Amino acid sequence: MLTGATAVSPVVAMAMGHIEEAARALTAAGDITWVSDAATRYRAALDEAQQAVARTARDVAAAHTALLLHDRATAAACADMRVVAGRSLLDRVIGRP
Amino acid sequence: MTDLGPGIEVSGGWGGTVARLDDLHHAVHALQGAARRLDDAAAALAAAERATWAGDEALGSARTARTTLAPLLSGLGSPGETAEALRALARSLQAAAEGYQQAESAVERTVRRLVGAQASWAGEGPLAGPVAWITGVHMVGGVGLVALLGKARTGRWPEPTSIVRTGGVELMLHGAASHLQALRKGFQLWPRHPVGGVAQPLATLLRERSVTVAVLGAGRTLQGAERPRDDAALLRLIGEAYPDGASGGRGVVSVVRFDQPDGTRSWAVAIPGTQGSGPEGDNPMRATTNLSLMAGAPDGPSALVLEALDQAGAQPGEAVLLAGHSQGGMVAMAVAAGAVAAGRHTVTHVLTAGSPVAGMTAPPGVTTKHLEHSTDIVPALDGLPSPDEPRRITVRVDLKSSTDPVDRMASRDLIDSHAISTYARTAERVETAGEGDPSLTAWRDSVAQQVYGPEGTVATLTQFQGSQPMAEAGGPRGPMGGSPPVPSLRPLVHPASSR
Repeated sequence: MLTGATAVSPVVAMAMGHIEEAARALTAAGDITWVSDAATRYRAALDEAQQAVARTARDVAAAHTALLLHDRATAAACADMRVVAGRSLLDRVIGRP
Repeated sequence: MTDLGPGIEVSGGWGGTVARLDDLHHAVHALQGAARRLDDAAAALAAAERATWAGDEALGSARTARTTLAPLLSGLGSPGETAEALRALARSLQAAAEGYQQAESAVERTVRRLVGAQASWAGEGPLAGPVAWITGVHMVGGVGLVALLGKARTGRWPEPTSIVRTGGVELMLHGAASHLQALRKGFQLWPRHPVGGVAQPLATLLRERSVTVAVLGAGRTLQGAERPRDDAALLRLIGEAYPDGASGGRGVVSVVRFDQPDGTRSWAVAIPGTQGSGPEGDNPMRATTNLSLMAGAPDGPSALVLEALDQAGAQPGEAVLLAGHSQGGMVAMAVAAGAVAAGRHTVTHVLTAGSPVAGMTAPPGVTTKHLEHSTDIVPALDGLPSPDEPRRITVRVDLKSSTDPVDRMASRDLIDSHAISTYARTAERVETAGEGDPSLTAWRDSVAQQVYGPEGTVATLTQFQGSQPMAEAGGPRGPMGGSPPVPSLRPLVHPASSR
């Protein structure tokens, strides 16, 4: 729980980068010469894992979009608060009620 | 079994199964890497969630962001859960790869037994002679045909090292030796060590000669980097003892005495391999000695090593490490067996490099380490794979995969693949790469503790030269075939080593 002064979306962008790397590693894990029943099962499990990672990547991308909006809204709110605080201070200085 | 470059192909046994084990291992690493990246992603998402404005005062956008992040932090489909699933998959794949490796060893053993049995039956049959000729012609013709096919397919003649690398030479020798042994009198099926069996009658033709041993100069203290502390240093010491080495000569072995700070003493002996000399030459390390060693018959270099240890002052109970290259490795194994059996010296370790020692038994209490290049033909000459025993470590190295271009060049040449300098570099590579291997670290720690000693240990090098002059034939013999030292060693000493 923070004041909103920090942008959160870059952290999620970093998570997106990790997930992209994981997706690439999974592609490499599928590049094997192996023919057997066990290999078929392995490839099925790998397909599932790749789909799961792809879903995660989509969800994180959605979260990233939401957090970008959040960051902008937070920044705007902070700017508003600074304006209000500035005016309040100025009013006190000049003695306006 | 066929070797496919960096990987291994397993065929047969599990009907229709083909796997490149190298691929499987790479896939395991890739899966583990993917799991780690997902863990990183999960940690980043958790940090983002903590950093997002929460509570009643949160903005609408913050609530939306937290709602979007929530399912990514835990539960099915979250990066953390997917990472766990990938780890489980990697474990299963690792288990499959290990299973294939074991199956491959079993297939190799079965093929060897089948080849040996078939060759023995052919030898025991009534057409043994003609079959031997036909087999020989087929073997030579087959190799030629394979070479021609390789040339037609790739436009280049196949390198001899590639035939060695596939294990074809070892198997061919096993089959040929089984057949030849079966030609001998009596029923001889499935000989344990067929090449050794074939060498026995030939070794009896060699005249047994006594060995004279003389010390070459005074002992020299090995200081700083010169003091041996690992396998590579010992192999370099062997290289120096060769006739063309920095301080070598014909039939020379180097004995290093380690005086440890607590007063205990230990020893290392560096034994070179075959040296150019005709069958009647007086160098104990001549080519025909290989026959005696392969046959398990008495040999000159073993007597030389034992005599050298005696003259150097080694006592029973003091740890001895024997290191040998090529023939020297066979000598080291023979000396270990002889010395332990006689209680003459306490051999604790044997290190061989490029030696055909699979058919030689290591006595109890002796730990052995064997370095073999997959493109070196010499370790394959016994026609047997190295035994898999707790006290016997075999390190098979593919020079083609080395990061050193000199090693990769050496992998194309049978001579360079066998060179002591190449093995010394390999020993360094193994030392570095074997940090996490329990067998290799156990060897390293054991040798360091029992032989090399801690810092402050003083190492003294003394060289001994042996000769087997013809005039000594039939004369009186000392213990282990040795006789009192004869001073006239001048003709044997290498000109470069006059001191």
